[in-house]
Formats: sequence, C-alpha cells, structure tokens
Amino acid sequence: MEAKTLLAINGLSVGYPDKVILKDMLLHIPAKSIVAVLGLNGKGKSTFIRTLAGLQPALQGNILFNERPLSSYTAIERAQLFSIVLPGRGDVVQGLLVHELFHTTRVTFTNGFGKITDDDIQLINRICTSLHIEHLLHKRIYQLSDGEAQLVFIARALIQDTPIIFMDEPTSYLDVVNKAEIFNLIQSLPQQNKTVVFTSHELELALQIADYCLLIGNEGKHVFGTTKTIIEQGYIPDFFNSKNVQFDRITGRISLKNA
Amino acid sequence: MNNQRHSVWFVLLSILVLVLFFADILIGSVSISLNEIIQVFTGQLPTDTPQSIIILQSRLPKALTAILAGCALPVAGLLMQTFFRNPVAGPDILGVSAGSSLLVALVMLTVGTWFSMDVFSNVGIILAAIVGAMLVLFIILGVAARVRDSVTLLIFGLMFGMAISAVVGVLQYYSSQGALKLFIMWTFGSLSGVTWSQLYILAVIVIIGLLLAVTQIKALNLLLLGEQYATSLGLNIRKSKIFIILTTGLLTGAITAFCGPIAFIGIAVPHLARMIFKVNSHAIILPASVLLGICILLICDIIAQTPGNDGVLPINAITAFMGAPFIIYIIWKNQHLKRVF
Repeated sequence: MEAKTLLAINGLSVGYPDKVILKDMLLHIPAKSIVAVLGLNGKGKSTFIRTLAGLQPALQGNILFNERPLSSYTAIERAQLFSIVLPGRGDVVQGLLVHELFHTTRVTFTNGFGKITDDDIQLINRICTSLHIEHLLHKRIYQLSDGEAQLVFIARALIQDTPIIFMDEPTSYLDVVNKAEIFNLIQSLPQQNKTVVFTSHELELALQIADYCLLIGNEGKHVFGTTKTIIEQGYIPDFFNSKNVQFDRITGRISLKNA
Repeated sequence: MNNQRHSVWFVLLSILVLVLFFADILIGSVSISLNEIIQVFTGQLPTDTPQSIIILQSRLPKALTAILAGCALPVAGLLMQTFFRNPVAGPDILGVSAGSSLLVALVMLTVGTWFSMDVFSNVGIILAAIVGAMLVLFIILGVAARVRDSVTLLIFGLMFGMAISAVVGVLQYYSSQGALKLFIMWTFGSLSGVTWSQLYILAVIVIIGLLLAVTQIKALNLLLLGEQYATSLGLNIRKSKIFIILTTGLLTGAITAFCGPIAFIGIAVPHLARMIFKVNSHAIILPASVLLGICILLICDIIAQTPGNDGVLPINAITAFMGAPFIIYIIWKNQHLKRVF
C-alpha cells in the first residue's frame, strides 16, 4: 500500500478476562494518519484505545509498533512512542498547576531527580505558543474551563513529544466552537509527523478529518478502512442504524428522518 | 519570580530552625543562660556540672528528637496524601500510628514480659512499630484499590484505627501492672523520653527514610497526574507503591516507637507548605515540609514546657491544639476537597 505501517494490529481481542468485547481485529495504520474510532456508547471504543495504549492487557493477538510487539517495549520506550489524552481531566489532582503538569511530563525522560533541560522548557513554550495557552500556565486544573482543559491535555500529549497520540473522547463536554477548535488541531497534527487515533461521538466532524475509520457496532461487529471506503460502501447507516436519523453518503451529513 | 520567592522562604525557614533550636535548649524549668549553654557546647564547663547534665542529657536529646520527628512525620504525611490522593490522609488519621501502637503493645505487654525489657526496649519496639505501620498501610492500600472515594477511605481508616485501639485496650486489661505502666507512659507521646542510644537508632532510620523519600520525588510528582497518566509516562506504579509504603512505615514507625503517637503534625504540615509555596511539586513541598515540620515541633516543645515552669505538657495536646483548628480551616476553605486533590 502507500506509506509504511506504523501500527499493526493482528488478530487482537480486547475486553476483560470474563468478557471479550471485540475480537479478531485487523488494522494497519500508516504513519502520519488520523484514525477515528466510532461507535455508539458502551461498544468498546475506550477499551480498544486503552489496550493500544498499554493501560490494559490485550486478551489475544498482537499489537506491533514499527514491527516490534508492544510487550517488548520498556515502560520508558512506550512513553517515548505514544502519549494519551484521557477523557475530560483524567484523574489529575485538581490543585495541580498547568506548568507543573507540563514539567512532570518532561521529567519522566530525565535521569535521577528530574531536572529538566532548556530544550524541555523551549519545547513546552513552543507548544503553549502554538496552542495559545500561555495564559493558562499558572492556573490550577480546576480553574480551567472544559475547553481550556481539553487544550491543556492535548498540549500535554504534544509535550510528551511522541510520534503517536491516542485520544479518548477529546471533545466530550465541549460546545460546538471548542469542538471545531480541537478537530482543527487534530487535523494539523500529521504535518508535525504525528499519528492520531481518537474515539469520538462526533460522527460528522470525525469523518471530515479522519483518513481511516474503525466502526464498532453491536456484539463486537467492527470494520476498518479508509474513510472514503467506509462511506462509499455504505457502512455508516449499517453501524449507526436508527429509525430516527439518516446519513447522506454524498455530503457526509446526518439529518433527522422526520425533519 | 516564583523561584526567588521560594528561595527566600527556604532561607527564612532555615534561620528559623536554628533560632528555635537554640530557644528550645534555652527554655526549661531550670534557667540556664545562653552564655552557659555556649560554655557547655564548647567544653568550657565540665560535663559533671548540673548545667551540663541538664543540657547534654535532657534538653539537647529532646531538641534533636523534636527535629527528627519534625522531619519524619510531615514527610510521612505528605507521602500518604499523594499516595492515597487524599488531603486529609496522615499517619494518625488513617490508623497507621494505631497499627504501630498495636504491635508495640503486643511486644511490650506480652513478649516483653517474658524477657528482660532491656533486650526489647530499643530494637524490639522500633521493629514492632515499623511492622505495625506497614501492615496497616498495606491493608489501607487494599481497601483503596476497591473504594476510590476519599471520604469512604477516610472513614475506613478512622474505624480501623478505633478497632485497633480497642484491641490495644483489651491487651492492656490482661497484662501485668509493670508492663502496663511502661506501655501507658509510652502512649502519652513525649519527646523527652529518648536517650542518646535510642536517638542514634532513631536518627539512622529517619535519615534512611528521608533519603528513600527523596528518591521517590519523581514518582510522587507523576502520581499527582493519576495512575493512568503516570503509567503512560513510564512509571512502574507497583514498584513506587512499595517504596512509598516502606518509606512511610519507616518514618512513622520509628517516631511512634520512641515518641508515642504524635497527632496532627503529619497531616497539617504538608498543607501549610502548599499554602506558603503555592505549588504541588514534591521537589519543593518535601524540603519545605521538613523545615516547617521542624519549626512547628520545636515551637510545640517550647510551649509544652513554659506554663507553670515545672511540669511538661504532653506534646500530643499541643500538636492537636494547633493542628486541629488548622485542618478544620483547610477543610472549610476547600469545601470541595477535590480542589486540593
């Protein structure tokens, strides 16, 4: 195919020992692409992305990054390979200052007691400038609005400076303006050599920026392909089957059936 | 700007530690002048004069004990607060001190009566206190894995502490009078009962504990990001948990063994440090807690011996008198405790 595969997923099963959620997954994701993981609530989007990020073990099959299995990477190597953006503010201590969040993210790659270098500080400054969040550096996590918090946590992932970023619901709780800002930001990331895999409920917006889609439906049904194929083959109405909405294959729009 | 402010505070606190240390030696039921103190330290006064004996055998070890307890308890409290992500965690609150008491009671009231107390007085008690502290920490860790709510964990810790105290009470009922008297003396909590030979053991353990804590600074900062972000940044959560429990157990156990359970210092001082330094980074808060803890315990010790000039107030009464209102203020100010943690 086109570019070299960065992330290869072969025969993967995800879920919990007593409950397999998705099985026999086969995905090959080239570098610098955007992958949207789409599906209704509770179908395994988060479980899938958490498994990729090594936060929970795969039940079966393997995940290869640069043709090397995930399990063969050390914890620090993983931290240099991929970063995550958890839903909302994650479990971060609410009184933490934004600049402390960023410093601690860089400190993980230092030896000993964790003194960060001028390069680290420059990287932090550069990313804060490009995301226009310098004014948030001295705020505490609880003082941020939902939109600001989302930007801060994406900035945190960028500051971790990894080729792959996993985002779990990066636009939950956001209004339409903030959603658009985050989607524009995600769209710009491949230019910085980033590969993004994100879950979302924003079908329309996600389809506009994603190169690839993974659709997850009922009973572990799933399909992966380029966004173009997924739309043209008519998978969307199949997976988002409802008597209330309809999907327009040409425009990529969703509308109410009775409107 | 922040760094400058921090440096000023560190210098101020260091000076304050020195001033309070000398003040603590200066003040006592027998008035000894500063001049005489300097003479004792420089060896100009013979060691068998009353002044020398009071200073070298009583006031100096007591002040040094206050310093060691002032280092150890706030660091133990800070570690527990970060570890359990709970602003009101502390060795005395979550039953860790109670765990120490139980094992010390077991040793003092049972094993200690079979052998001569001398054999067990130092090593036995300190080991019992450390093991007791760690046992409770592991139990609370197990509970914390199942209940994520910090208030639930807190209530569990309180109940657990009370249950342990009840067991200690039963033990007391069945023990001999001699052993009981020794144990009751111990539970009063005191900085003054520590002899030089005990002080050496205490100092070694506290220094080991502090060094261990310093090696955990990076891990503690990562834990503030929550376990998932910390894991994704390469932290081995299980390893750092064991290290943190070991460190907290050593620090709490060692102090509890020789000074009895001292309340509130462990929980209150880290909050004071966060209020003054306005950051969360353990690279700042840990040394700040150490300096503030020393200052506060020295102040408590000075207050403990001033009234009436004769007897000495129990140190626990002073720390609770100062610590309880402060913690109430912290809770009042952050009605959503989540804002701190």
